[in-house]
Amino acid sequence: MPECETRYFGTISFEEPAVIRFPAGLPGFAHCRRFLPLQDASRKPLIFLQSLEEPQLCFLTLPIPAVDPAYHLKMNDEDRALIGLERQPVLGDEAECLFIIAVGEDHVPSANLLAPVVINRATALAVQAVRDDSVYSCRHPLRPLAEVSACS
Amino acid sequence: MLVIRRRAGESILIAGDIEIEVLETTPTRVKLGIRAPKNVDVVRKEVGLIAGENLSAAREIPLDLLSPVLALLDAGPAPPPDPGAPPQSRLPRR
Repeated sequence: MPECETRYFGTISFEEPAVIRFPAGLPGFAHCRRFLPLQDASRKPLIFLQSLEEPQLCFLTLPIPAVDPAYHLKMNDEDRALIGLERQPVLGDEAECLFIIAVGEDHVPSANLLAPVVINRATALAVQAVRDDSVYSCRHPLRPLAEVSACS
Repeated sequence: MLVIRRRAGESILIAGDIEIEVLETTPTRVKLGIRAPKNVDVVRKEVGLIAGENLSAAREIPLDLLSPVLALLDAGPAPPPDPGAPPQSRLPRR
């Protein structure tokens, strides 16, 4: 089994079919094509997108339903063609969709809803599908629900 | 900002070797064709913005900072408590 160095878990072994491939890389990381999605039982529902080319590069992501179950995915034709989807995908069935997490200087974690990572389950090809519209924010704050409901 | 009116089929030229042609117009959208040397990076403006966001997301994130958020998100069925277990690779399933 091949092994890789990871940012958060040291050296691990993985199975080749688990690897997802970004034919065009990601914006800002065009040279990073192969990633390994990892889940740590104690950090669910977080998914770690570990680069296989850059051990120090690991995006933290969350699946769409965990952040916004009502999220409406809209991909442009070029992005769909890149990963072999003929029409807008059905989430969870044909495609897995992840939001990349960042932590701002205010220490509030946020999710990038403007540019979800979409993975075609059938081909294991992925793209960061930057939306053409501005319906969603690229810094959607993630706050514990308790904090929000405490105002009532 | 320089403003130029163009119709479908007409072009503008930038710095002599970058050509932008208006291919098609509709009431809500304009389709552009861009011819540029290989070393010129052409991306939609949103993509440029996302590159900056990705660079910031790629910085080390203290995982404990996320714990209160994760605790309240929909985690699905509870995993068996085994903190020593190695991380599992998941998705895609073919």
